[in-house]
Amino acid sequence: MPSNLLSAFTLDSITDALSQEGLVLDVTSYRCRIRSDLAAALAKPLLLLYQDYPAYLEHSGFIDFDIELNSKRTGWLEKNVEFSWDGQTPFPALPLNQVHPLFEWGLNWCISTLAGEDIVIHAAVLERNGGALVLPGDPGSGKSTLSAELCLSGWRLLSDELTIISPITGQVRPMPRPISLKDASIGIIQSRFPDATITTPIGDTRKGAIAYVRPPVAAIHRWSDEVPIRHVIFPRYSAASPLDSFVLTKARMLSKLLDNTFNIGVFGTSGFAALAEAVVDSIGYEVKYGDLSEVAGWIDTTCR
Amino acid sequence: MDRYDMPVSRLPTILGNPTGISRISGEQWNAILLHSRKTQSLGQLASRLDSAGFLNEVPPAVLRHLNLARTTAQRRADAARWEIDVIRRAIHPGTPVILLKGCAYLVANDPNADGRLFSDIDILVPRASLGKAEAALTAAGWMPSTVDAYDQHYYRDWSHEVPPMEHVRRHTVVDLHHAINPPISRYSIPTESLLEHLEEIAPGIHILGSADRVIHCAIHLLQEGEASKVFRDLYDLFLLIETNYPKGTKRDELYARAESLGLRRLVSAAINAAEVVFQTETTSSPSTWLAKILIAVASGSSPQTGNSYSIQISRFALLAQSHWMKMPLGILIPHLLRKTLLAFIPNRDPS
Repeated sequence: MPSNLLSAFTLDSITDALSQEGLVLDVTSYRCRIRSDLAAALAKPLLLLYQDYPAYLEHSGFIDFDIELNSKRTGWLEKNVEFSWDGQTPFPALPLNQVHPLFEWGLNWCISTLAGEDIVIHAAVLERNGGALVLPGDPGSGKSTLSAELCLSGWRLLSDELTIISPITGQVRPMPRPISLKDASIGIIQSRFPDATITTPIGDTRKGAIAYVRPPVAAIHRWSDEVPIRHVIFPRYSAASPLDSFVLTKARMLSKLLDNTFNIGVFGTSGFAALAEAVVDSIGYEVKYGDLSEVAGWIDTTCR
Repeated sequence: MDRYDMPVSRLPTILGNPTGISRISGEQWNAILLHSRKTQSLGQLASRLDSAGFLNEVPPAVLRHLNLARTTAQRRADAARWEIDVIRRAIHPGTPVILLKGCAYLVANDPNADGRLFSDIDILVPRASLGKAEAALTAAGWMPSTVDAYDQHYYRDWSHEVPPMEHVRRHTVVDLHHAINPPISRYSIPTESLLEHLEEIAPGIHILGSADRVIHCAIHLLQEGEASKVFRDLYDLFLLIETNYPKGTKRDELYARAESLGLRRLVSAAINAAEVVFQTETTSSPSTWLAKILIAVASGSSPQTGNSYSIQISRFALLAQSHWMKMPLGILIPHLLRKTLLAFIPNRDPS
């Protein structure tokens, strides 16, 4: 079956596909079919953000994730959108204008719960000079903002949300996807990188205002280049705080990573050993910061 | 939910006789995976293909999903083994602990266990030891569920198990039985008779005798009456039969045992249905109305055949049959009336 990039198709044909047979997108090694009765609202951000991904408007063959985003009556006058995968609905329905964020969250869920035999950590991850930098962090730690900053200034984006580690090679498997920015971060990245492609912010999601950055083309093309981990940084954003960093012991770094792992329970002892092996040669830091360019500069000099 | 032109799932055929894997199209794999996820049998599909030596014919993209399901099941099995050990140490060493269903497959190393997901730990103890075993499990952290007075009465007086016990920290659930079907059932199986045929797998850990395990599996799937589980229950039965009673071997012993318990008709109908659904060469057609109902309900587990009128009728018939098996009419009718009426009262205070 010949594949095209999504940018080869018109907005109208993508909308038609979404509302009928489904739009098929290859997101790294995962083939997703997306169908929605809110096709018009979904097609626009998908075309903007996924234009460099292989896509099919007609497809027959195996699908990893068969995804539907359909509106659902939730009250007398109220309609919400619901995410479903193979007939399962893992999340509560959300207001209709959040159909695209819901797709991104749903796909994250599919990948982190069904990603085959890889270890999945809730962390951003980037690459420079053949080494990966893992940035785990709770919401608000600034990991997405940091990954947008770094990938727009020379680092290769591997993922802003899911660090996928092969237990066999111990290396990171890139999962380049649109980067989600929240609230104040949207304006900061817009002003620092006026050329970056960013979607129109959607207000009042459960995570505040949210917008997505289109990933750099080179990051998408190199999705199959695996990278060994060299650095693990636990960022902690604190307004107006001066930069403060310290090195973590290997044991502490591993235990903090385990706290951020989605699926380590599935792999038991062998998963623990594989993760330990994957980070044995890395250096771990905890970094508190209040200024984005300052911490980016520190990372540039520290992680060589 | 629209499934467009998805082909009818070949899951039962592959589970029954895994050949010709390389000829399965991508579209067919979509249907097979959807069906096996819906019936919680994806890990077992992986195991079946592996033991038949065909895993290498599965496309890599599909294999990734199969492997994850199997790994997940293996990890749950490890956890269950650990819980079994804790349970054995909690209960007085003089009391035999008899494992049932998923746990029994696991400790007996049956082909059923590989890739099979199960959540509750089902154990059987002699009726005389029930109170002590319940107290011992409570002391070890498994708290009896809080059920209302009626449900408490239902479990204590009519049922073959105490209300499910959930561990306060690990949230594992133990179903503690004193019989394998309700003592008030018209097909009540005396536990004493089962105790005479136990197999000891590890010190103090037992499973039922091989004929009794087949009989329990058959009776379980009929008396649960849950359409969503019939497919997998029939597959369990199919594997037990395939492993322990292939046609022409000790089938007569099995049926003699079922006869002595007054269950011959039910057990043969269930076995007949299992062999038709999973299409073994020796059986071709359903022999009784009960087998026909089971087959129709099992075929309704496929997302493509989902909800035809005849399948809905069969589901109802199976549910009716299950209630008929469990309770005498004098208890059954008031019980169903109560459940039906309560279903119309929204947000009933559980106390």
